[in-house]
Amino acid sequence: MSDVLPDRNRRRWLQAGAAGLLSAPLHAVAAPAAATPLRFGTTPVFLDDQIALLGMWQNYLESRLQRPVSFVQRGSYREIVDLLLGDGVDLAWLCGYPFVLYAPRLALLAVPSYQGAPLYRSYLIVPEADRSTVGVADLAGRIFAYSDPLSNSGYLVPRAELLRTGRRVEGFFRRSFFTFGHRKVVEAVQAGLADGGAVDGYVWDTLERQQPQATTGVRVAWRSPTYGFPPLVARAWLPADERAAITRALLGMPGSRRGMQLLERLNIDGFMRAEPALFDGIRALVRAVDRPGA
Amino acid sequence: MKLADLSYRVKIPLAISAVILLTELVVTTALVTRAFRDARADLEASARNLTTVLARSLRDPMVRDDLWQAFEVIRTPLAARTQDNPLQAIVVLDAQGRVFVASDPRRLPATSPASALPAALASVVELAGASGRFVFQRAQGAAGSELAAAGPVLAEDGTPLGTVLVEFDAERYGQRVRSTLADLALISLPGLLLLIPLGWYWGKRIAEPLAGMAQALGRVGHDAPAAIAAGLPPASRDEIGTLAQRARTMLDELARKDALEREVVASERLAAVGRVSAAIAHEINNPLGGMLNAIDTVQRHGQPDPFTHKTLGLLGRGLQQIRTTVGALLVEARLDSPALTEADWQDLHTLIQPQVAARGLQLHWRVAAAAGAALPLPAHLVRQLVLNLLLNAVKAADAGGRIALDVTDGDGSLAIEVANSGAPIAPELLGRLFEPFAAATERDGKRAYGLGLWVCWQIVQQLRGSISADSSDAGTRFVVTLPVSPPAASAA
Repeated sequence: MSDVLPDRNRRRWLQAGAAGLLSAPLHAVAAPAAATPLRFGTTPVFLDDQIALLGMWQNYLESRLQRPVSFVQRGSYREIVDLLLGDGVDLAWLCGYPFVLYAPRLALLAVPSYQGAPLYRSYLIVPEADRSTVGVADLAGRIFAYSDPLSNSGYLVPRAELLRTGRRVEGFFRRSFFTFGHRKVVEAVQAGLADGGAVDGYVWDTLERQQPQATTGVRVAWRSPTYGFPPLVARAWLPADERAAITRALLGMPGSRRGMQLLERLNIDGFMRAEPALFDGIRALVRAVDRPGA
Repeated sequence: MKLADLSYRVKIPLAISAVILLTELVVTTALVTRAFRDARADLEASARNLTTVLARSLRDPMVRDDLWQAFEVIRTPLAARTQDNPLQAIVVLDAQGRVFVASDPRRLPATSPASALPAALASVVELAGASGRFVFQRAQGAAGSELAAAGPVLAEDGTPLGTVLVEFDAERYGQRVRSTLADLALISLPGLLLLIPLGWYWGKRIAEPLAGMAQALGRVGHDAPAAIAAGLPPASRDEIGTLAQRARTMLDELARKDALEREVVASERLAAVGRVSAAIAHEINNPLGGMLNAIDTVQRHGQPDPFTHKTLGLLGRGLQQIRTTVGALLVEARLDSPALTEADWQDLHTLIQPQVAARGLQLHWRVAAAAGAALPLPAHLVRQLVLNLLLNAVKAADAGGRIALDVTDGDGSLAIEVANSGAPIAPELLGRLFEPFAAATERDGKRAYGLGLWVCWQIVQQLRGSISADSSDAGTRFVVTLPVSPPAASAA
């Protein structure tokens, strides 16, 4: 799937980038809420403790949007969702799962393009010494590490997979726990605290590339089908022009040197417009898990 | 060789070395014991601290059953430790005694039963028991002895949530203690190496005077006291100095005793000779008187022919000579001898002049005024005594030499000195100078045998005085001391 998409999408976000560049000055003059700070909610699920990265992003957005930008970090998706819905933050980088759950009250701003498409997978990771596990169903009675209760790749996918193979989720593992960070799931499996874990494939790939010592002693046992990449969302009642400005800023990243540096650090190709239909796969998982008897 | 036979030059340094060694041993032992105790106390204190902090930090994660958070809490102290820190592992148990989480999950996976705990941890858990108090102890584990601590994790209302166990690597702890010991040894060893030779040297110095004295006193009886005294340690107020002073005093008295002995021996000998010669004189005098009378009678009242007359004359002269000799051998006091006056001294001066001139000698003559006055001493005896001495002096003086007479009176006594310059009298002859027929100084290969000094000695004895002689390269000197009796007793 990723081989077909690249050309089409590259054209799409190049177009969007040009549009963004052209329209930026107009919007800078016309936007009424330019002076008030923009609050961006993040979780350790993705960015962990990369404060420098947030600083880069802050600089880029402030220069594009001509308004102060502040980052609000919280420990879980739950907190960020609460903030979004309670006017605590204006936008956030969420997982597809909470977007699907709260869809009427959240608006899509943009979605990252990764390896040519706005898609990613969930990986099942196990210790290197475990050569026999090929799927989550092989980990009966073991200790399992999830990332976040509202994470698609780090919670929903493995549970749905168990149901798909005909197993009950409750009591399947001897013990399970949340690390509230994909990177920490890798640590838990590396340390031997968990016999297996579910991580965001994009995070795993980025770790392997940027900090290989973090993934030593751990291997990927199973890769899920693709799902919509975690999007950037805003609360639905954020003024449309603000939302549009942010979208343009995100889409226009490849057009500037700073933007390109940021994309390089984030290990994504760029941002693109998204349709809610992108997350139909996750909707199907939610339905499967919520069925009585699961 | 018995210990008692060792020289003090070895005993004292040995004692000092032993004291030094013992002191170092005691001090080092004390320090080592202290170091052990301190190290143990330090570790226990830090274990207590750690378990307290961990227990507080683990409260919320355990209440919320947050395995990952608990794991992060117990990972932190292990990640932060330094190279020599003996902290090895941390294990958290839940309220049922099962493993909640461990810092090394491969060894102790979560939900493991209490039986999975290694022996060292199991024993501290047992000790902590239900009381939920802090426990710290050394236990025997599979890999040798281990150190472990246990502390309770309590909820806000005091309900037990579980236990936190801390494991220490006894080997690394032991290494720290051993390095402290090595440091101690490193400090004390140079000290020993320096102190023992110093102590040895000091000890020997203290013992030296004692050895010196022992050696000096060992020479008593072999060497002269004056030479021995020179080898004694110097006088000081300490015990050895006092001993040395007493030894010197003792050696002085020994020298005096020796001199006195010699004097006594000499006197006794002369007295013995005197007794013998007196006895002989008497034995000879008795028949001698009769024989001389008989010859006198025959010569006077008989009518001897010329041959008999000549023979009698010969006999008479011979017997007279015998009489004179015997008379010298036994000097007899004459009760009717007049007192000594100034005239007697002048006579003596006149008498000796020709002899002095004949040998070309200088004469020094001094008679103190008081000495020259009339003294209650028998003049004949004194004249004979002084004349004999003067004649001897003239004979003994070297050519162109000097004769001296010095007469003084001291309290209650008359002192007469007769001296001459010239070759000294040999020491072996000095001892027997006053004996009759003793050998006088050898001169020109001839030996003179005489009674002169024997007569002097007899006179001096009779007058209850003393006579002595000393001779050196400067010359020979005779000193006579005669007690002068009070005027009341000197009836003429």
